[in-house]
Amino acid sequence: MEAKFLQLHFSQLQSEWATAKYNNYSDLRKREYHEKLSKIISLLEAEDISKFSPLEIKQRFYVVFFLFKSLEFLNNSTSSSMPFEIVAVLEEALNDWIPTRDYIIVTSLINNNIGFSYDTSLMLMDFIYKEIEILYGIKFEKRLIQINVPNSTARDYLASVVLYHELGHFIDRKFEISRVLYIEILSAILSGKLSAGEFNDIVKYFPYLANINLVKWFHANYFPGNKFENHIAEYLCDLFGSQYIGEYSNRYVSYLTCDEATDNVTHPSSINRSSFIMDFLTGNKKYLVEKYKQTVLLITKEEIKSRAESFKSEDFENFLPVDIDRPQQLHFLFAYGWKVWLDDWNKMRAYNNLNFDLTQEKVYSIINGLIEKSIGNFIVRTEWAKQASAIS
Amino acid sequence: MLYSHNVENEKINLFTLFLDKAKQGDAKYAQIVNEVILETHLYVVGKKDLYNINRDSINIILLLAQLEKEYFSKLQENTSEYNQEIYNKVFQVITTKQTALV
Amino acid sequence: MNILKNELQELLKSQRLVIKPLLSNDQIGELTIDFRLGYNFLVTIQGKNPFLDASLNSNDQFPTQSLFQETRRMLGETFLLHPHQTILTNSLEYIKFPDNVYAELSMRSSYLRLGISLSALVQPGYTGCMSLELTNLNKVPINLTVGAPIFQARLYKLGESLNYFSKKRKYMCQVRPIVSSVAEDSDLKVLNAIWRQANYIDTKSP
Repeated sequence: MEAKFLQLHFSQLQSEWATAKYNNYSDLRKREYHEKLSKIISLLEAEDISKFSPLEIKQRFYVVFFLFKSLEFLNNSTSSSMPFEIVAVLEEALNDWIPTRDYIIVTSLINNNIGFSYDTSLMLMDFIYKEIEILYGIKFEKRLIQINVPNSTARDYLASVVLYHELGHFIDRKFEISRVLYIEILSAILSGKLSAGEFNDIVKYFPYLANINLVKWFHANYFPGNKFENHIAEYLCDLFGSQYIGEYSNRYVSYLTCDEATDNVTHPSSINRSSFIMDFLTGNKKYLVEKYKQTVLLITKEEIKSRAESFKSEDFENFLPVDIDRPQQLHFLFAYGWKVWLDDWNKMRAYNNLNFDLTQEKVYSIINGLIEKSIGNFIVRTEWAKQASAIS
Repeated sequence: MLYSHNVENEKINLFTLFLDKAKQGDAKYAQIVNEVILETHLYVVGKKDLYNINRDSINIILLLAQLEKEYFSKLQENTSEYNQEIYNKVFQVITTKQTALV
Repeated sequence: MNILKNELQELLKSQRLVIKPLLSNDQIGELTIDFRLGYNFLVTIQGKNPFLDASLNSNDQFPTQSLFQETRRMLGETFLLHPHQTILTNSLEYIKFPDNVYAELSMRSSYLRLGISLSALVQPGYTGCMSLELTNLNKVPINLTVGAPIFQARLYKLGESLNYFSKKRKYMCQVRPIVSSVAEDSDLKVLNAIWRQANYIDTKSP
């Protein structure tokens, strides 16, 4: 690695920093994180890059990458259009699995209209944080996670159900669950001890594993991003999401993929994905679902189970937001919203004495607005109660 | 590099970088690589398993265990005994096989 | 007839009047109900368009939406209202009025004295967050706190019930401020047609 290229890289960062250093955050945690970035950049500026050895250049390459990524996340989070309602709900879900105090969620509004995803690159690069601590004595207690939300659907809570699936990817990467399942499933087949039913259940969802030579090849040749591991991860994330929003994410995804009957390198078929989730939701003790549940429990010490607290309500039909009493009920808002969307809209018309037909656009706007307001009201009431009692 | 490779490859690259520093006698880096080497040993001898080895380094640990199981099984659990010879060996194992994960 | 405290509380208890969230019962006064500033705002921005078009005569070249930008604040954060600036926002509370009750909105006197004006009517049966058009008539900026009880509603009872949804409503169940839908006014279509004819413009609808 040449010093001139690192100098170029660092100059690009300095150019970016020239404006980013004036970023304003209302969140104290982001301000503290930003101040640490500022210290690192000052320390880097004091170093003489032209005198670095190739190893030292490589080290600074990762540091500059880290700084760029952090700035990208923080810059996006100064947007004042942040859908904080979505973030609040996802934080609740995340808190079931890892302590929320360890990270800061930021949101980025992007142009890809189905681009719901998490960017976890900073969360998972433990070595980079250690490198920075060694080189500059700066320790980051909290890591940044970026949620990408499409600009066009930032207020589409019905579509946002896919974020629970994406959260599953984050948890998977954090705990490396798919990696373990990869070994376990292949080892189980190669052991020859599976019953016919168990083997058939595996092959139903991973049809290519009917070929024993392929099983042996996968076992001997792991590499990140191979088809089998990708498929394991997708089923895991569907399972993860269904804990919170039932079948609705998969039904929506099935539509987006036109009920795809075949798999590809990255995803199993939509039909198989839906079937897998129904195995879980209907309580069928099928081998593969049970294997997933057992592995998740052993690694994370948390169970795969239904985590949304349901409630009975006709508030949406009455054009009212729901009064949420407990955080676990927040997740059920999405299932409720979907139920109303998929239901007969005449109920809304009747309950509110409408003299006109509701257009789909209007129903879409009403349901999403009421989900948003239900979440927002819960946040407001909770914060108010906490501080009002502390002051009185 | 970081735009075409995935996070796992970058972890291995960073680990290799740390090994290089440890080989040069830097104790701070040695401390970090020692943790990974110890985890590999404990995994190989059955004192740790897939469910409780370090999650961030799991792919490195599994790779090392696969490539040199016998070597890691014979290591001590006392990391203060780890020395340049071990770092050189692990560095050699990793760098030879690094391209397999790309 | 102005509805007084006891009856207001009865309406709330019977859920004929819905206020969500009602953070403090102190908001229910003898004559009025205090409401809070919400966390969504629409501010006008200067862009390529030369004016806010409240007509159809420009053939939708200057859509109203393009001159507004949304911004949000968290509860407890502040919003700076500049001198002579008008912003669209809404109440923190989502309300549903009985179909025989309407309300007149005005600023609470503490805020009126700062120079902020508001005047609005909430119709019987209205459902949603209340839309506010706040103007700073002062010469200095005013820093408002999201969640502060800045305005009040005086409720009145009608002799008969009116169905809010007897006809299609432009603003229904809104939870964020919505840019004016003035272009959807059917009268404007008629007026546009008159203007087009008078000016020998292609008589097909815009």
